Amino acid sequence: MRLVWTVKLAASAVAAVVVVLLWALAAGVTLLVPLAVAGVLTAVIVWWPRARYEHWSFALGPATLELRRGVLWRSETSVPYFRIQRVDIERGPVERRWGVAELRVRTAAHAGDARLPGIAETDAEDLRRTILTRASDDTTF
Amino acid sequence: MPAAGLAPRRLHPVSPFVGALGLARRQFLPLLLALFAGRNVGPFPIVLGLILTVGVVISVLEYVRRTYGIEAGAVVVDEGVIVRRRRVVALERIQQVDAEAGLVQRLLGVVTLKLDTAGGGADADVTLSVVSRAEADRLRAFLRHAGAGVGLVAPHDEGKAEKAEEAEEDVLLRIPPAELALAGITSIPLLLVLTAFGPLTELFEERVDAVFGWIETTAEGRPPVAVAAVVIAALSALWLGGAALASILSYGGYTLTRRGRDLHVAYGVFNRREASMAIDRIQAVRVHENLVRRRLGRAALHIQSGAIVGEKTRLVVPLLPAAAVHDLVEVVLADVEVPAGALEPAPPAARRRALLRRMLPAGLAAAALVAVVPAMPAVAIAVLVVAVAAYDGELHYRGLGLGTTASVVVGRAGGLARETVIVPASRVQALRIRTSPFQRRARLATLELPIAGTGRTPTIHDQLELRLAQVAGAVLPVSAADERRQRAASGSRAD
Repeated sequence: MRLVWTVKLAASAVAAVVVVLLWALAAGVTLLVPLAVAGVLTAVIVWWPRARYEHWSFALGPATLELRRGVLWRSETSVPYFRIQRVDIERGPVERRWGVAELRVRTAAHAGDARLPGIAETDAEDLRRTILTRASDDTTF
Repeated sequence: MPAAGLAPRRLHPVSPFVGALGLARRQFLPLLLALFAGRNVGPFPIVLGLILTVGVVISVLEYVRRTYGIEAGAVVVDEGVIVRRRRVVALERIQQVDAEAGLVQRLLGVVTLKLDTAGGGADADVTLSVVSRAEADRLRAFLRHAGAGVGLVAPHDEGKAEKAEEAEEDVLLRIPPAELALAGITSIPLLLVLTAFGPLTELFEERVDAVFGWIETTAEGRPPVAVAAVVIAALSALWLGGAALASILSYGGYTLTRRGRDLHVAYGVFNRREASMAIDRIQAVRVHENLVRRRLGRAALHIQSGAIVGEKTRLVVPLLPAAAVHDLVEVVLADVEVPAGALEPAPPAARRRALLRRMLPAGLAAAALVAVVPAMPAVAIAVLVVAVAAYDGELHYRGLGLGTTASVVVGRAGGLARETVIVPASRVQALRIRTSPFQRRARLATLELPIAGTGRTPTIHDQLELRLAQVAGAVLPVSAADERRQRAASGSRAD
């Protein structure tokens, strides 16, 4: 998943650098500006996906699905299995290329969704079924 | 069980004309005015008449081809002049039934009935425009009755609901005109009134000019401060009067009643609105109090349901005595215990955070101002800005509060305008604890309690992380018990 995020981030970073480069050429500003931007973005590309990945975890607890995410602004979400309405599997083009998928666990609340990214494609369906099974015969309370 | 259905029938015979009238008012009146304003009329009136006639004919055809009825637990609407369309809405998906009548409709004794459902898309709600008053009442009673078997009413209270159908009707609240005037005056969006005056001033431009001319001549030779004071006083009086009048007109005759497991509200002087909401679908209640209302011991209530469609996802109580809030909320949220008395204040760390969050940006801005303009007035302004920020921070800290009982969670936040959200634990869908880097340093956190529907998520701000974890832990078992009860009920329903 780190790879996927790196690729996505790198793509937007390259686009940003190109924009800055064009602007620098057009405005006649020294080329040091786009160079500096590129440097900062490279550092971000190396650091951010790693940090994001390390701070994004989930666990199937006895009664709830637990999700922790966020590097600076962190959140810990507990979704009780009995409230789960739907589990979707989502894959974008980049995700498909590297064989990963994102599971979206949905409840009746708009704000109650939990996203589990970076699940191996082969495991996604199993995990989905596991969660749904727990959702339908939850007797933990 | 109630009768299985209601034979297909047409809307009220005046429907096409009410429809055409509405169309005429919306589309043609401005056009007509525009035509008469410009003198060169030409053949336009004939064209206009033709269009109007065609409009009426189409309305009549649509009326003839549209029927509605109830069969097999669903509202069925057949419509379409050339392409026939059938819409089927399961009774159990109907969240709310609203009746609305404009001035003309009230004179004709008819209402527009709206069935709001939980679900998105264009077919999400059914509008019956128009049916007779009696038919609306019958339909509503039928929907309530039928709902008892399929989910409009909580199954474990079926017996109670059936009985409720006969007589039980509790008037929970009536709001007298004086209170409504107060509601208008103390509501925050006073500016709305000013914008409402916008078009009026255009209409009476000449008179407005005359008024200004009169003010000028009268004011001549008098001290300008006195003149300004008089003008400001007159404008404020007009403003407040307008707000009070607007509030009385839109909420006049406000009555909130409970009929069995339904809340029912009716209000409006010209445009009479009626809405019902199943008590079992209510997700949260929000209490709004601004500084003025707190001083006067008044509050407003927003009751939020789980409906997804449109804006009819809440009922509003524009103003009631703060002392009456607790009891009303306990009736509205049925079967829960709402904490009475003061809420737990936020910890001291939250005060530091509230002050810092507002004073830091203000301080930076003030410092920048003084750096750019190193003069006495600038320093005075800088000090004032920081002082206001500090006051605001202190207000926000004092606004923070948390309360719990075995069955509800209460959170309060806000500065000048405070909002208290009351969420039954049984309605909570998930739990989320958020922390920012600054909150983590102070061991504070924010708790979100997502509930069904598209309304805002109830949130408890800046309490100790440990305390919030404790609150969150207590919510889940209650929520689970509620779910178990519902599953047991739906299981027995399937038999």
